[in-house]
Amino acid sequence: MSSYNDSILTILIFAPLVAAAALAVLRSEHALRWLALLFTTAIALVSAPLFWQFDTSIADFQFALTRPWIPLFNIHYAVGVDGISVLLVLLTTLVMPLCVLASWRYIKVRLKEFMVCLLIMETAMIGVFCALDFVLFFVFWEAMLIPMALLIGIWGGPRKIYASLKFFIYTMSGSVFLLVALVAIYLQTGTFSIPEIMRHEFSHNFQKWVFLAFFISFAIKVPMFPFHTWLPAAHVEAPTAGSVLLASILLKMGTYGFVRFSLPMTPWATDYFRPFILWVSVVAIIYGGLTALAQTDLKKLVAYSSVAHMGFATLGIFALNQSGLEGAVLVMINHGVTTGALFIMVGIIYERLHTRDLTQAAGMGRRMPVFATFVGVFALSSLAFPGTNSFIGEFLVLKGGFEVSIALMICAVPGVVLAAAYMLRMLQRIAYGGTNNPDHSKVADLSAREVLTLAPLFVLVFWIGLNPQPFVTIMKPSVARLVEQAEREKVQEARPTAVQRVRITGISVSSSR
Amino acid sequence: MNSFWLHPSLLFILGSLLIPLIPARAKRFYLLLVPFLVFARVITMSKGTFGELNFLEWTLIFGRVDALSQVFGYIMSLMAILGTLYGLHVKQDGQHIAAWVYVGGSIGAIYAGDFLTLFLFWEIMAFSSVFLVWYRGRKESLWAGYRYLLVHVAGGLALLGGMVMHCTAAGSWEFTQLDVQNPTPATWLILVGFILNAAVPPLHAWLPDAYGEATFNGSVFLCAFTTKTAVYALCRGFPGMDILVPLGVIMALYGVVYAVLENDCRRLLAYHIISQVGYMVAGVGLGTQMAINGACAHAFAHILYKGLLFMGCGAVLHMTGESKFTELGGLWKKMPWTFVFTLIGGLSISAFPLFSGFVSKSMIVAAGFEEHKLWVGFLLMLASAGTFLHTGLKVPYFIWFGKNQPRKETFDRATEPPWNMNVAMAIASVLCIFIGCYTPYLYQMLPFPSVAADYAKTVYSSYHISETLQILLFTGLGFFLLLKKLTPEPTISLDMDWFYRIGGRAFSWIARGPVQTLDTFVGELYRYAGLIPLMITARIAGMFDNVVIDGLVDGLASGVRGVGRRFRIAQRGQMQENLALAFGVTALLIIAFIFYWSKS
Amino acid sequence: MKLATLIEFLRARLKLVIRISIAALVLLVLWDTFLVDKEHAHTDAERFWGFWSFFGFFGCVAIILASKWFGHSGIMKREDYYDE
Repeated sequence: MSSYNDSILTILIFAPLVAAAALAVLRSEHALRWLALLFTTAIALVSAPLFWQFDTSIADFQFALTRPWIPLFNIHYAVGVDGISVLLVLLTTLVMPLCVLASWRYIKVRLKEFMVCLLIMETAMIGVFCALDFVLFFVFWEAMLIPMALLIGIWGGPRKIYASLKFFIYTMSGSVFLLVALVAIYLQTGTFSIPEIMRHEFSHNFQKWVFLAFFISFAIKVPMFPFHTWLPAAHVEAPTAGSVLLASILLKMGTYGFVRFSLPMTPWATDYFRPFILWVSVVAIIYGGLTALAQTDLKKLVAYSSVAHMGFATLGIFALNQSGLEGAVLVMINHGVTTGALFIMVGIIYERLHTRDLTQAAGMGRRMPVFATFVGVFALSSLAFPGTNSFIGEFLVLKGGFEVSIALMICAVPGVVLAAAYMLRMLQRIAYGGTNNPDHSKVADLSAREVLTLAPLFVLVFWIGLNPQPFVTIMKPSVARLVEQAEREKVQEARPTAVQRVRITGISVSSSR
Repeated sequence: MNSFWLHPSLLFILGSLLIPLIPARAKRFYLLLVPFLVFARVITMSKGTFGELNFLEWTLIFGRVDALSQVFGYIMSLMAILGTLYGLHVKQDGQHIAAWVYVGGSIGAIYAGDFLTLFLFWEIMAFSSVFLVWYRGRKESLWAGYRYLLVHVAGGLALLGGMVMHCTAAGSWEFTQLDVQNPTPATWLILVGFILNAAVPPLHAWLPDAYGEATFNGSVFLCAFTTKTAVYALCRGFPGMDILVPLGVIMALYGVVYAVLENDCRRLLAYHIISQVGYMVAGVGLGTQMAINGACAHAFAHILYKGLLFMGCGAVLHMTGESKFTELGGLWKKMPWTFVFTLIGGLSISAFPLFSGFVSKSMIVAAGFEEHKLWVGFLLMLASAGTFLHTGLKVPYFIWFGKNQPRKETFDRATEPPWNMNVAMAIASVLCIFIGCYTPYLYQMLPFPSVAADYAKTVYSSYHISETLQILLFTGLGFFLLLKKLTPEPTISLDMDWFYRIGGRAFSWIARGPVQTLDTFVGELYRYAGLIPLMITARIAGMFDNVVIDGLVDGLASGVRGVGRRFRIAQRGQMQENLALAFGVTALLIIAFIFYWSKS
Repeated sequence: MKLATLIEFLRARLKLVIRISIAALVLLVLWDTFLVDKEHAHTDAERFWGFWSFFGFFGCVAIILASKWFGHSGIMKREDYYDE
């Protein structure tokens, strides 16, 4: 099995590319769809053993492979996964066949190019999560831009060129900073290998600048307030599969970047900028909630809710403790599952009504019970109802956050109320509507294909919600290692945490009164 | 956990999911069967701790069965039977499902042994009960439901926040008595969560708002469960917390005052719930064994008689379509039995001798006097007078008697409700009287039975009877003398919900207006600050390129051409001469070059 | 319905019903003054004859007047106050 261990990641990365090449020679639309589905499902199945074969007792990178690539600059082809990235890889391979299924009837022109774009994106996305060499990471990071821009720009909505351009410019400008950081680190350490860079100690001044470079690049991707404005435009104009990929995977790359680069490589700077980033995250949670509340376009509503959810993720990451980081990783996975599902559902609505307007879609659930059930479950999951996946993630983030600062959490909690407000409003409108709903009598309930698309996500909502243990176990050692790495150069001395302060106050109250 | 412990809520929740699959003929039977099964399960449960589940790093306890939870579980499952029977003829499956999930959530919260489980069921209760409001189907119902849900989500989050803080500090998630002598911020947050569900002012406005707007049978369920679960939680977590005593007394009087002003009979009853729960909250605050007994006994009796009252008014609403006093009156001819049942409910709530309220409410008042908190005792007695005033007198009088004539259609529609509603009301009435007459039935279920048994000896003393009868009957005298002052007016009363209703509109305006504008501005900022200057710079560069550089090159080129043209004139026609000229010029240039080079 | 006829019967003899009720009230106060054992009373005020009668009557009047004053001072509004 050692050859499986060595080559599995490389297979996962390049198989979609091979599939794309295979599809390029086909003509029949029928064959294109089925083959794309076959390939992506096969890749998903091949990646499944990663979950069970992952060794949960060690924190090192597993399934690793290193080969020299450009020896002149010490660049290697190095891939490997740890507890955090393996979950993200599995999420990617799972979501891909669902994207193909969701685009079955949605894409009517240039189907071949569309499927090829999707597959190239899969290569890039898996590559980003597996890369252990900085240059390799950067190559995959950039490689993802063009297919996405094409996905929006060719198969998108009315303002697709505007949205595609906006997405491209925003992300590209961020990548420039990433490149600068990459080169700076190489000049300091002489290596591009990520595990080696993690062990290196940089000067505080250097860390500050590199952290800022990282921050701009990743914050645009997450997207953190105020760099988020490309997201609503991109989501609204993108086709369903594009939105799903954007929400489920691409946004995670930003937070993954923080976890893989900012925290272990620039720990001093992380701690230095931490209060600022924590408060920006809280602002994102509230702001995303407020803007989502004002929307009538379903896609924009879900897009702004992503800003709020990712605010939770960054909050958990920069809490820098076990609970917060575990919660953040879970939030990433859960958001991928739930928001991906919500976008698929919006796509389903669009295919039937040719509108994304909430007022037009009012009352659809009355005639479509299966649809209403799915929407209900995913909306409840999005507002973190206990028993669903999001509750565990947000709960752990809250727990981690409380250990840092009570004031912070008290400001973040209203964001959850806002999430409830807009999600409930959306759910109630779609499922029951008001007293004068538009006529939906001719609209059909979900077909078998659509149920099949949503079923794995539905199962995951409850699986992670009711039995999160396996997922937490996988990420535990990696998260512990990350906390260790991030804490090795803490700026402040261990001051009494909010929790300890409470206890101390309790004692002094009874003795001084 | 070795063997599977059947949680009663599981029966309700699973049972509710099966409702759509039961054929119509068997549906009524099924609807009665499941609550009976749950009730049977509850009364046969043995005491102890069951249903432990390992979840991540914590242990969840689903079944903590002791006297305190049993007394609540008993009456709640009993009320579920009556409520389902009352609504048996409702055709929408969704209403039954919502009601059962709601009761399941309540019972789950009662038996929860740890905070996480409590929170889970707390949220289930909120989300399922909102449907009982939404099913009414009016435009106001939609908004009332939203407000209800959002208030409860906010309360649930306060609870969650307090829980996380408390359990992180205490190291355990068990739901036990909190330290009421030294409250921490965590304790306060948990308290806020509990008292919001108990509808303690100022967090109470959701109750009349939602309960007055729910379906006719939905209100029967609503009145019984949310507030009593909160009372249970307060009994479990905060016995003896001093601030609850004044809060409870204020509640009791607050509800009474607003009830006098109310025009809608069901909203009046809802304000009444606030008043009665005030007794229970005060009891929890007093904290003695008799006071806790009183709170539990009163909760038990309250569920029954409040359910009965809502059943009576619900019947009026269902049969006539009206619930406002200004639209009703003189129905005694058409719905006499409903009148009798409602009257029994009114007499129970007023604590008339021989009825359930007499043996339960007085326990709290006696506990207050025993603690020498005289003002508590007297103010609660005052609230009792107010209680009889509206629930025992105003409601029956203005609906069934009174000088007001309803519209003709209303009067014509009125008739006795269907058999199932009458039977449900009859059973509830019988129970109210039974509890009042035969005290051991209730008293043995209380958490401190020996203390209750002691009290039982004094409850029917002549003094007590005389005291109660005097208050009530002279209140009746006051009512009839001041009848003109009490004539219903078609108004609504503003309450604390004014703040978040007007506030909510302002909030929505902020979300739609300034925030959206800001977002669009920032979104376009990249265009104004980024793209446009970039394009302008690009155009300038392009211009520079075209005009300056190219100009230079072009100019040079045309210059060269011009010179060339001039030189063409100098050219002769023959090649030799041109060649000679060319060579001559070249030679001159070379000599000049060598000359200058040797010089430098 | 037998019940409806019973109520009709009582309504027809309203004056008699009222007289009997007033008699009952007087009897109640007399019973309280002379026959009831006031050992359980918590305060001295309660031993006063007919204490609770006054408490009930004046309490009721106080509640009605206070509530109506409170309501008419601005709390009570027309029914469509909240409609947009």
